Amino acid sequence: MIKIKLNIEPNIESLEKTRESVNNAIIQLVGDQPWLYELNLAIEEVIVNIIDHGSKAVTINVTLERKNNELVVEIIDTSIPFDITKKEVPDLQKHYREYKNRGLGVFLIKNIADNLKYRYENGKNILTIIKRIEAKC
Amino acid sequence: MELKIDFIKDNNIVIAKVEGILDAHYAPQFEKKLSDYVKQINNNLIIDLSGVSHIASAGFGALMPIKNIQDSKGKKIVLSGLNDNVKKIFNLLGFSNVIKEYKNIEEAKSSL
Repeated sequence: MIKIKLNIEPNIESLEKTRESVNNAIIQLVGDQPWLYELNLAIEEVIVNIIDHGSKAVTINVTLERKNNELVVEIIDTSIPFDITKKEVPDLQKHYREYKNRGLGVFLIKNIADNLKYRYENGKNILTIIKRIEAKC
Repeated sequence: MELKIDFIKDNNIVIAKVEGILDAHYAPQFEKKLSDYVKQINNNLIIDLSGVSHIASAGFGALMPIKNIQDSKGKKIVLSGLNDNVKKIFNLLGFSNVIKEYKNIEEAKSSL
């Protein structure tokens, strides 16, 4: 099984480069899936959250691995413990009526992932996003 | 990549043609440039996104203060030219209940 590990630069100026690396890794592992763009966006949203809430010295790694019919993505960072799976998803329509613009990223991450798991281990946040691979026609 | 916004006045409508990407890096510039301009006008607004390849949550979020300004003036705001990927996220976020989107500028103009 191939496992791809990406070292992510922890700054928003590098997001374009990050998207490209993640995109290439997904294609290499599972081909051009219909959810490729969405998954790349969900990973970007997690990284932006880490950068927003962490210190400048934080390190971020993304590992991607195909396991049977699933793509397993782990986003590992050394920032303060933060469990996004426990974060409440806002009522977006209420949010919009009040012209609020926060919380959309959490909504996207939770809606795009088929399965989302969090653990804190050895001083690291480990967020696992699982996507089911679509069978080729 | 740079963020570019051209403002075009077309009779009683203002068209903001955006080029670039609207992620967490560029969304604050987008919001500032657009809101600074929109505060000065009293027109219906089309934000044309045909030159935008990617919009993250920060980019969608940046539209809310612009909508707030337009709503407070009783003026409309619509979007045009979303690519297929951006439209998927637009739909996922339930944004169609907030801001209408049209295939192109012409269709957006006829809605106003």
